[in-house]
Amino acid sequence: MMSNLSPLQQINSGATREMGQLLEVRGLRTEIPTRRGVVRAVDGVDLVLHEGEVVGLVGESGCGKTLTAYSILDLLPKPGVVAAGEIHFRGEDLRRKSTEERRAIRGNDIGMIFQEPLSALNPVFTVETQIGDVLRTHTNLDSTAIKERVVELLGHVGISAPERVARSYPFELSGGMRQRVLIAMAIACRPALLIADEPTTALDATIQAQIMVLLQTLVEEDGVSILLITHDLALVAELCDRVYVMYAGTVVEMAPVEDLYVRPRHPYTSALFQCIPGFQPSDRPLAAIEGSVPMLIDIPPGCRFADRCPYVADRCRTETPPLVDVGAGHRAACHFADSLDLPGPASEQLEQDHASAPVY
Amino acid sequence: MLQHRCIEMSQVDPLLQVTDLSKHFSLRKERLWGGEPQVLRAVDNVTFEIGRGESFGLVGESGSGKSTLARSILRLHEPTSGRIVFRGTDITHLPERDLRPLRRHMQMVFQDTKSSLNPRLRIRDIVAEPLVTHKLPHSAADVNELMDKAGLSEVFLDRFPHQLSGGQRQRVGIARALALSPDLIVADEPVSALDVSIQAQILNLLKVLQSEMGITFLLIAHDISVVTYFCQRVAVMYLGQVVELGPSREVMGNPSHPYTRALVSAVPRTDPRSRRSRIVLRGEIPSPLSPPTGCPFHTRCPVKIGPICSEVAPPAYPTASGGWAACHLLAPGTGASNSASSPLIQTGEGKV
Repeated sequence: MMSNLSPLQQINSGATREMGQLLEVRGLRTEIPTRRGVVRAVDGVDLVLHEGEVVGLVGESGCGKTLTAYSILDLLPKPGVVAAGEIHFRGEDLRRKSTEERRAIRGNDIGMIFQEPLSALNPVFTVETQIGDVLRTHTNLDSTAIKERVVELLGHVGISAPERVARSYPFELSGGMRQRVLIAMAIACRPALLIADEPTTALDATIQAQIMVLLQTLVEEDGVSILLITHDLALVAELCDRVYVMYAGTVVEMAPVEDLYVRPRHPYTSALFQCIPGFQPSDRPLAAIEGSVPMLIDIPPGCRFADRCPYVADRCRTETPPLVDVGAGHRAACHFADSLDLPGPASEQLEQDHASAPVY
Repeated sequence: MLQHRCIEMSQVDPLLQVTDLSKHFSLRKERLWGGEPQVLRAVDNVTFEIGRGESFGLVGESGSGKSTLARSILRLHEPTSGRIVFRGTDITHLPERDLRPLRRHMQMVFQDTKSSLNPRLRIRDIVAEPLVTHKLPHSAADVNELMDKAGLSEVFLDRFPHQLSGGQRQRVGIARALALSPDLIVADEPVSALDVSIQAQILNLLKVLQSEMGITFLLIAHDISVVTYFCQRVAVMYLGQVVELGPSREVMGNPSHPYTRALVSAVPRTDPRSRRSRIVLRGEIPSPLSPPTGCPFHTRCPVKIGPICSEVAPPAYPTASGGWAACHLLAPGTGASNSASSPLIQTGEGKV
């Protein structure tokens, strides 16, 4: 897969490695064999995350964002397999490591937060037992020390009565509390990287705001790096430094967050932005993306977004657009990335919508 | 302006009037010789009206009572107290036999399309089912027309729900709701399970139906931007009560109630340059089994003014937006009020 990278990309990945690169994924291909053929759920994804960085991985359901994360963690549900690619964590290729070695890294150096906190927690054990398990697996602490550390962790994630919550079972806690417990579990061994898969999707707006503040604190005070997997472009705008946009198993755009929202370069990204209703009642229809995501079996050549793209040209149906640099660390996989002038939510024409938002 | 016209319209020709509506559930304790049954106040003294052709939004977090309120209005729950007037008829205690002809005019669209469509029926039968139930004559052409209105191709007619995508299933749910040409459609989180691109398709469809068929909508959503985009007026619910009501542009652009402010501020914006200090509320919604006395929001309110908040339920004061909010801060003479306001509607206190 390495040979598929353009020289430019190779130079870029070489340059970034020197800047405290924590995670580097190259040419990742994840396949799921099905009765109808092999589904290439993730197809040639390159991703880099530096120390202290918050990187967003966004896309709609089925775009491969969660499977990318599970491939990194070696948690792919069967029969999914990583068919190709390299996953470097702190310079070491994780795919060359044994299952035991990867398990030691997972939970210790890389923490995870899952979307549905109720199913991610075991209903028959107390919070203390479950967080304690992580510590027992990865540290040499004795049982008293573990108890103390559990209470300390629960306090650290903003739980006001940590002793009581430690003795509780998951069903006794609210959704927001469960998510805090999961975060406490994920950071128990002071990981360098936290992979958060839709950490706030199941939560109410005011509770989501609490969890976002908590994640920000972890980044600023504990120096944790976060790979945030989400469908919510607004959440990305609030939390991330850099964003990868995925569509049909591939990265279609990567940019520093401000660039992406001011001037998206890929028609899919721009279309996604325009689907989001603003803060105004309006008689103008939303710019819905017609059609649906293509099947990922026997993918024809050409751009995968071509059938739904308003700017489609003949070339798009025959030639796969590479992910090319369009300046200032911004890359897009579109033949017309340089010439199209696509609106983003932070472009001037939409400024008014946001100006009316109240500041308290 | 459109909004003002709608307010006037709602005063002239209300399709639905809800007055002091409450729905309490009594829960038995799980102990064998348990004491008093506990009362869960899911909806508490809610008053509003919806004009013909208007779209009215209900926002609030989970547990705020918005779904219970909608179901009580449709008489899917029996209201505990209050009054519901639909098309000029008081339906609060109407017996089922008399209610049935009116039910034709009110339909519902649900959030979960997997469980709200019968998995054993073909799409053509699902869409025709309301017509069958109400013993109305119908032809295959009628079903085709409904499919067309909901933006569904006729190739789906012989398929089963599981063969359709989430967005297509929601279109089936909408086609079914349209079958009886209702006056009112209650849509409970119709787009929250869908991806943004599909969500936009469904919202556009609902907009078209509203403008072309003049259907009145009661839209329930936790997503403020969806409600603000779709609805002319909005009511914000907290712990079973409406805390603020008014034109959606003004309520969301310049909220008066501290809860509305916190809710609006909690929603992330799609602009990285507008990262700002948000109001982060402490704690969570109190249990509706033992709601706080006084203002329901006082336990989390960042601008609580004193004992009055925990002792006296705030009446509804008019707001600059032309709506009202139930907060003591808006009382005349507290400085924060925006006009010489007197209570519009007396809420809470001693009515239940």
